[in-house]
Amino acid sequence: MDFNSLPLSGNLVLALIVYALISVLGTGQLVGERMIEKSGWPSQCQRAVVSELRSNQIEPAFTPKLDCNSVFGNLFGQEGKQLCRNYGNFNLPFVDQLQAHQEKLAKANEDRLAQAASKTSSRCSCAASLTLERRRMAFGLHAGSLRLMTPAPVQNLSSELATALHSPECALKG
Amino acid sequence: MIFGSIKVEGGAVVTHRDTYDLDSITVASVRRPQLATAIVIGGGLTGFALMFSDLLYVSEIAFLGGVGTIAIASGFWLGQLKLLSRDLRGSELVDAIWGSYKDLNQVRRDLARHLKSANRSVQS
Repeated sequence: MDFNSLPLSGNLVLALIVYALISVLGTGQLVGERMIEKSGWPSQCQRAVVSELRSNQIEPAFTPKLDCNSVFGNLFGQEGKQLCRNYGNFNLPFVDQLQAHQEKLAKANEDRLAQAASKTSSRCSCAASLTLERRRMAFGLHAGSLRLMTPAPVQNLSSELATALHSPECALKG
Repeated sequence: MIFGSIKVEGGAVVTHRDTYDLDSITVASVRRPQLATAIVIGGGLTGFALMFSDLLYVSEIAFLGGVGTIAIASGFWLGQLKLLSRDLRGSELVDAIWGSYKDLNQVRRDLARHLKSANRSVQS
Protein backbone atom coordinates (compact mmCIF):
# COMPACT_ATOMS: atom_id res chain seq x y z
CA MET A 1 0.00 0.00 0.00
CA ASP A 2 1.44 3.29 -1.10
CA PHE A 3 0.73 5.59 1.84
CA ASN A 4 3.81 7.63 0.95
CA SER A 5 1.80 9.08 -1.87
CA LEU A 6 -0.60 10.72 0.61
CA PRO A 7 -0.10 14.40 0.02
CA LEU A 8 -0.27 16.46 3.19
CA SER A 9 -0.86 19.68 1.37
CA GLY A 10 -3.71 21.25 -0.55
CA ASN A 11 -5.61 18.08 -1.36
CA LEU A 12 -5.92 16.98 2.26
CA VAL A 13 -6.92 20.45 3.44
CA LEU A 14 -9.49 20.67 0.64
CA ALA A 15 -10.87 17.23 1.53
CA LEU A 16 -11.23 18.25 5.18
CA ILE A 17 -13.03 21.45 4.18
CA VAL A 18 -15.40 19.48 1.91
CA TYR A 19 -16.04 16.96 4.72
CA ALA A 20 -16.75 19.78 7.19
CA LEU A 21 -19.21 21.35 4.75
CA ILE A 22 -20.97 18.00 4.18
CA SER A 23 -21.24 17.61 7.98
CA VAL A 24 -22.55 21.11 8.66
CA LEU A 25 -24.94 21.39 5.70
CA GLY A 26 -26.02 17.77 5.18
CA THR A 27 -25.36 15.00 7.65
CA GLY A 28 -25.57 17.21 10.76
CA GLN A 29 -29.02 18.47 9.81
CA LEU A 30 -30.17 14.93 9.00
CA VAL A 31 -28.93 13.66 12.38
CA GLY A 32 -30.64 16.55 14.18
CA GLU A 33 -33.92 15.91 12.38
CA ARG A 34 -33.85 12.19 13.19
CA MET A 35 -32.87 12.80 16.83
CA ILE A 36 -35.85 15.13 17.24
CA GLU A 37 -38.17 12.56 15.64
CA LYS A 38 -36.77 9.75 17.78
CA SER A 39 -37.11 11.74 21.01
CA GLY A 40 -40.88 11.86 20.44
CA TRP A 41 -40.81 15.65 20.43
CA PRO A 42 -43.64 16.22 17.88
CA SER A 43 -46.29 14.47 20.01
CA GLN A 44 -44.87 15.79 23.31
CA CYS A 45 -44.88 19.29 21.91
CA GLN A 46 -48.48 19.06 20.67
CA ARG A 47 -49.66 17.85 24.09
CA ALA A 48 -47.71 20.62 25.84
CA VAL A 49 -49.05 23.35 23.55
CA VAL A 50 -52.67 22.18 23.92
CA SER A 51 -52.41 22.05 27.72
CA GLU A 52 -50.76 25.47 27.67
CA LEU A 53 -53.66 26.81 25.61
CA ARG A 54 -56.18 25.27 28.02
CA SER A 55 -54.46 26.77 31.05
CA ASN A 56 -54.49 30.17 29.38
CA GLN A 57 -58.25 30.00 28.75
CA ILE A 58 -60.40 32.37 30.80
CA GLU A 59 -62.98 30.47 32.82
CA PRO A 60 -66.54 31.53 31.88
CA ALA A 61 -68.11 33.77 34.50
CA PHE A 62 -70.30 31.99 37.05
CA THR A 63 -74.00 32.55 36.51
CA PRO A 64 -76.14 31.56 39.50
CA LYS A 65 -79.38 29.73 38.90
CA LEU A 66 -82.01 32.44 38.85
CA ASP A 67 -85.36 30.68 38.64
CA CYS A 68 -88.39 31.05 40.89
CA ASN A 69 -87.48 28.20 43.29
CA SER A 70 -83.88 29.28 43.81
CA VAL A 71 -84.82 32.93 44.43
CA PHE A 72 -88.18 32.86 46.22
CA GLY A 73 -87.57 29.46 47.81
CA ASN A 74 -84.38 30.73 49.42
CA LEU A 75 -85.86 34.07 50.40
CA PHE A 76 -89.31 33.01 51.70
CA GLY A 77 -88.92 29.32 52.44
CA GLN A 78 -92.03 27.12 52.03
CA GLU A 79 -94.23 30.08 51.07
CA GLY A 80 -91.90 31.02 48.28
CA LYS A 81 -91.79 27.41 47.02
CA GLN A 82 -95.58 27.25 47.16
CA LEU A 83 -95.72 30.37 45.01
CA CYS A 84 -93.47 28.71 42.46
CA ARG A 85 -95.59 25.56 42.46
CA ASN A 86 -98.67 27.71 41.76
CA TYR A 87 -97.17 29.84 39.00
CA GLY A 88 -94.55 27.44 37.62
CA ASN A 89 -90.80 27.51 38.09
CA PHE A 90 -90.28 30.50 35.79
CA ASN A 91 -86.95 32.15 35.14
CA LEU A 92 -86.39 35.72 36.21
CA PRO A 93 -86.41 38.33 33.44
CA PHE A 94 -83.17 38.58 31.36
CA VAL A 95 -81.81 35.31 32.79
CA ASP A 96 -82.45 33.46 29.51
CA GLN A 97 -80.59 36.14 27.61
CA LEU A 98 -77.74 36.06 30.12
CA GLN A 99 -77.46 32.26 29.89
CA ALA A 100 -77.57 32.35 26.08
CA HIS A 101 -74.80 34.93 26.11
CA GLN A 102 -72.71 32.80 28.48
CA GLU A 103 -73.21 29.73 26.30
CA LYS A 104 -72.21 31.71 23.23
CA LEU A 105 -69.03 32.87 24.96
CA ALA A 106 -68.16 29.35 26.10
CA LYS A 107 -68.72 27.97 22.59
CA ALA A 108 -66.54 30.71 21.05
CA ASN A 109 -63.87 29.88 23.62
CA GLU A 110 -64.02 26.17 22.72
CA ASP A 111 -63.87 26.97 19.00
CA ARG A 112 -60.85 29.18 19.54
CA LEU A 113 -59.14 26.42 21.52
CA ALA A 114 -59.89 23.82 18.83
CA GLN A 115 -58.60 26.11 16.10
CA ALA A 116 -55.42 26.89 18.05
CA ALA A 117 -54.90 23.19 18.82
CA SER A 118 -55.18 22.31 15.12
CA LYS A 119 -52.31 24.67 14.40
CA THR A 120 -49.95 23.35 17.08
CA SER A 121 -48.08 21.21 14.54
CA SER A 122 -46.84 24.29 12.70
CA ARG A 123 -45.59 25.78 15.98
CA CYS A 124 -43.88 22.51 16.90
CA SER A 125 -42.21 22.12 13.51
CA CYS A 126 -41.12 25.78 13.75
CA ALA A 127 -39.39 24.97 17.04
CA ALA A 128 -37.65 21.95 15.47
CA SER A 129 -36.40 23.86 12.41
CA LEU A 130 -35.34 26.85 14.50
CA THR A 131 -33.27 24.57 16.76
CA LEU A 132 -31.67 22.89 13.74
CA GLU A 133 -30.87 26.28 12.21
CA ARG A 134 -29.52 27.85 15.43
CA ARG A 135 -27.46 24.80 16.39
CA ARG A 136 -26.23 23.93 12.90
CA MET A 137 -22.56 23.86 13.98
CA ALA A 138 -23.24 21.71 17.03
CA PHE A 139 -25.13 19.10 14.98
CA GLY A 140 -22.45 19.29 12.27
CA LEU A 141 -19.73 18.62 14.86
CA HIS A 142 -21.70 15.72 16.33
CA ALA A 143 -22.23 14.14 12.90
CA GLY A 144 -18.76 14.97 11.54
CA SER A 145 -16.97 13.55 14.58
CA LEU A 146 -19.03 10.35 14.26
CA ARG A 147 -20.48 10.79 17.79
CA LEU A 148 -17.07 11.30 19.39
CA MET A 149 -18.17 14.82 20.34
CA THR A 150 -21.59 15.68 21.70
CA PRO A 151 -21.86 19.43 22.19
CA ALA A 152 -24.14 20.74 24.95
CA PRO A 153 -27.01 21.79 22.63
CA VAL A 154 -27.17 18.25 21.21
CA GLN A 155 -27.05 16.71 24.68
CA ASN A 156 -29.80 19.02 26.01
CA LEU A 157 -31.94 18.78 22.92
CA SER A 158 -35.30 18.90 24.72
CA SER A 159 -34.47 22.14 26.52
CA GLU A 160 -33.24 23.63 23.24
CA LEU A 161 -36.54 22.70 21.62
CA ALA A 162 -38.56 24.11 24.52
CA THR A 163 -36.62 27.38 24.30
CA ALA A 164 -37.24 27.55 20.55
CA LEU A 165 -40.95 26.81 21.07
CA HIS A 166 -41.30 29.85 23.34
CA SER A 167 -39.11 32.10 21.20
CA PRO A 168 -40.87 35.00 19.45
CA GLU A 169 -40.27 33.38 16.04
CA CYS A 170 -42.40 30.35 16.94
CA ALA A 171 -44.70 31.74 19.65
CA LEU A 172 -46.51 33.77 17.01
CA LYS A 173 -47.11 30.74 14.77
CA GLY A 174 -50.63 29.41 14.56
CA MET B 1 -6.73 1.75 -18.17
CA ILE B 2 -5.07 5.01 -19.12
CA PHE B 3 -6.88 8.22 -20.05
CA GLY B 4 -5.11 9.28 -23.22
CA SER B 5 -2.03 7.43 -24.42
CA ILE B 6 1.68 7.03 -23.77
CA LYS B 7 4.23 5.02 -25.72
CA VAL B 8 7.94 4.95 -26.42
CA GLU B 9 8.80 5.43 -30.09
CA GLY B 10 12.46 5.36 -30.96
CA GLY B 11 14.20 7.81 -28.70
CA ALA B 12 11.02 9.68 -27.72
CA VAL B 13 8.12 9.31 -25.30
CA VAL B 14 4.89 10.22 -27.05
CA THR B 15 1.85 11.04 -24.98
CA HIS B 16 -1.53 12.09 -26.38
CA ARG B 17 -0.47 15.70 -25.89
CA ASP B 18 3.33 15.99 -25.96
CA THR B 19 6.44 14.29 -27.21
CA TYR B 20 9.55 14.11 -25.01
CA ASP B 21 13.08 13.31 -25.95
CA LEU B 22 13.83 10.17 -23.91
CA ASP B 23 17.24 11.55 -22.89
CA SER B 24 15.70 14.68 -21.40
CA ILE B 25 13.39 12.83 -18.98
CA THR B 26 14.88 12.89 -15.50
CA VAL B 27 11.99 11.66 -13.37
CA ALA B 28 8.91 9.54 -14.10
CA SER B 29 6.70 9.42 -11.07
CA VAL B 30 3.34 7.78 -10.30
CA ARG B 31 1.19 9.01 -7.44
CA ARG B 32 -2.35 8.65 -6.14
CA PRO B 33 -3.20 12.35 -5.86
CA GLN B 34 -6.85 11.87 -4.80
CA LEU B 35 -6.21 9.22 -2.15
CA ALA B 36 -6.36 11.62 0.80
CA THR B 37 -9.61 13.17 -0.45
CA ALA B 38 -11.12 9.74 -1.08
CA ILE B 39 -10.17 8.42 2.37
CA VAL B 40 -11.45 11.50 4.22
CA ILE B 41 -14.77 11.76 2.36
CA GLY B 42 -15.36 8.06 1.67
CA GLY B 43 -14.26 7.03 5.16
CA GLY B 44 -16.31 9.82 6.68
CA LEU B 45 -19.50 8.82 4.85
CA THR B 46 -19.04 5.11 5.59
CA GLY B 47 -18.25 5.87 9.24
CA PHE B 48 -21.30 8.12 9.42
CA ALA B 49 -23.52 5.33 8.07
CA LEU B 50 -22.14 2.88 10.64
CA MET B 51 -22.11 5.16 13.67
CA PHE B 52 -25.58 6.60 13.05
CA SER B 53 -27.20 3.37 11.83
CA ASP B 54 -29.81 3.68 14.60
CA LEU B 55 -31.07 6.94 13.07
CA LEU B 56 -30.84 6.05 9.37
CA TYR B 57 -33.06 3.96 7.11
CA VAL B 58 -31.54 0.80 5.62
CA SER B 59 -31.59 2.34 2.12
CA GLU B 60 -29.66 5.37 3.40
CA ILE B 61 -27.07 3.18 5.14
CA ALA B 62 -26.64 1.16 1.93
CA PHE B 63 -26.34 4.31 -0.20
CA LEU B 64 -23.80 6.02 2.09
CA GLY B 65 -21.81 2.81 2.53
CA GLY B 66 -21.79 2.26 -1.24
CA VAL B 67 -20.73 5.82 -2.06
CA GLY B 68 -18.03 5.70 0.64
CA THR B 69 -16.64 2.37 -0.56
CA ILE B 70 -16.65 3.50 -4.20
CA ALA B 71 -14.88 6.75 -3.21
CA ILE B 72 -12.13 4.90 -1.30
CA ALA B 73 -11.72 2.31 -4.07
CA SER B 74 -11.48 5.11 -6.67
CA GLY B 75 -8.85 6.87 -4.58
CA PHE B 76 -6.70 3.74 -4.57
CA TRP B 77 -7.39 3.00 -8.25
CA LEU B 78 -6.76 6.46 -9.70
CA GLY B 79 -3.18 7.32 -10.43
CA GLN B 80 -1.21 10.09 -12.10
CA LEU B 81 2.03 9.70 -14.03
CA LYS B 82 4.22 12.77 -14.18
CA LEU B 83 7.11 13.08 -16.55
CA LEU B 84 9.63 15.62 -15.35
CA SER B 85 12.35 16.94 -17.56
CA ARG B 86 15.35 18.91 -16.39
CA ASP B 87 15.03 21.08 -19.49
CA LEU B 88 11.38 21.87 -18.76
CA ARG B 89 11.71 22.68 -15.06
CA GLY B 90 9.19 25.36 -14.12
CA SER B 91 7.52 25.08 -17.49
CA GLU B 92 3.83 24.27 -18.03
CA LEU B 93 4.88 21.44 -20.32
CA VAL B 94 5.37 18.99 -17.47
CA ASP B 95 2.90 16.31 -18.55
CA ALA B 96 0.53 14.46 -16.25
CA ILE B 97 -1.27 11.37 -17.45
CA TRP B 98 -4.20 10.01 -15.50
CA GLY B 99 -5.39 6.44 -15.35
CA SER B 100 -5.29 3.30 -13.27
CA TYR B 101 -2.43 3.36 -10.76
CA LYS B 102 -1.44 -0.21 -11.65
CA ASP B 103 -1.23 0.46 -15.42
CA LEU B 104 0.60 3.76 -14.96
CA ASN B 105 3.11 2.08 -12.65
CA GLN B 106 3.72 -0.53 -15.36
CA VAL B 107 4.31 2.29 -17.89
CA ARG B 108 6.74 3.90 -15.44
CA ARG B 109 8.70 0.62 -15.13
CA ASP B 110 8.81 0.22 -18.94
CA LEU B 111 9.98 3.79 -19.24
CA ALA B 112 12.73 3.16 -16.67
CA ARG B 113 13.89 0.14 -18.70
CA HIS B 114 14.02 2.25 -21.86
CA LEU B 115 15.88 5.01 -20.03
CA LYS B 116 18.46 2.49 -18.72
CA SER B 117 19.03 0.92 -22.11
CA ALA B 118 19.29 4.38 -23.69
CA ASN B 119 21.92 5.38 -21.11
CA ARG B 120 23.85 2.14 -21.66
CA SER B 121 23.97 2.68 -25.41
CA VAL B 122 25.21 6.26 -24.86
CA GLN B 123 27.98 5.07 -22.49
CA SER B 124 29.17 2.29 -24.82
